Amino acid sequence: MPDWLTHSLIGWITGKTTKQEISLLVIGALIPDITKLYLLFNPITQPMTQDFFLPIHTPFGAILIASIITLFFQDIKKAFIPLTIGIATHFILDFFLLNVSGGMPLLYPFSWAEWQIGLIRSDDYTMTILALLAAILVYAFYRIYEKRKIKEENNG
Amino acid sequence: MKHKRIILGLFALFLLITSMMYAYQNAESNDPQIKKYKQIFEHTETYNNTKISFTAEILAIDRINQTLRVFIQERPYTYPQVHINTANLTIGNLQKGDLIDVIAIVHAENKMTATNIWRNEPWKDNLIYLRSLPAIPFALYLFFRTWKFNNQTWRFERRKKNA
Repeated sequence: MPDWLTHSLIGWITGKTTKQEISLLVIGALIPDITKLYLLFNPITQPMTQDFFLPIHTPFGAILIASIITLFFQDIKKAFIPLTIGIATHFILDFFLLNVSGGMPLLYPFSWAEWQIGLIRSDDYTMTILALLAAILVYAFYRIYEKRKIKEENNG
Repeated sequence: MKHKRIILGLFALFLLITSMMYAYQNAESNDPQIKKYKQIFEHTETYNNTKISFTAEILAIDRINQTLRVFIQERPYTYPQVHINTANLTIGNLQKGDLIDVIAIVHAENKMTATNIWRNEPWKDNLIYLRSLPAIPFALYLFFRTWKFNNQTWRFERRKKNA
């Protein structure tokens, strides 16, 4: 996995640029990594616990969790869309990873086949730096854009 | 229907827990990577020149012949020790006991030629978790800046300034 910071920053950038609900998009981008809960369990039983939590790191499981979360919002559809986009950004990022033990079972529970492109190792922090730089650029761009807009409104 | 949301929520939770139980019971027997390892180690002769990747622990290093003897650290941890030829790679930084990620080509029984080797450094793994920590307050701040929980209705409501 890229780290959570990368996932949340890419979620934030996607939310900002697509004008979706940023807070929910960032939460959605982190949902699949709830699977990391297995790390809290005994190291000896971790492979089995990892199997138990595996479906959360699949589109099927992550969307089910998103569905449960949306039930706590007034407008289910308005909450579900940004959460799902966030989940999609998570899997797109993870798709670039190189994991020698196998990729992601994207079609679980219908297929156990695993996919990955294998471009970046998960311990490589280049992705984090790039995401951070991109987030700073997007933030700066929107700050300038909003300031200009306010200026124009005041002048007009 | 008055309890539509509760029924939907329970149904989604039931599906999720069922799929988790299914994965718990069947992951090891269906994992394509584990299946591939088993096939390769049981019928090596039919898998000549097959690409394989795994994590392994170095048991011995022969720097003269540029070979490593490794134990494959993949489930179910019962694979035979293998000899990996690293003639085209630099192994100067590797030590006995190191964990490595390997991409190799199978040649003969328990013999492979590595095309890529990466040393797994524990500090780099720890750094992933350290880098992940700032995301928690970041996500919580973004969320609770926009939403507040109403105990009466059991719903998140948009804060007025973000309405």
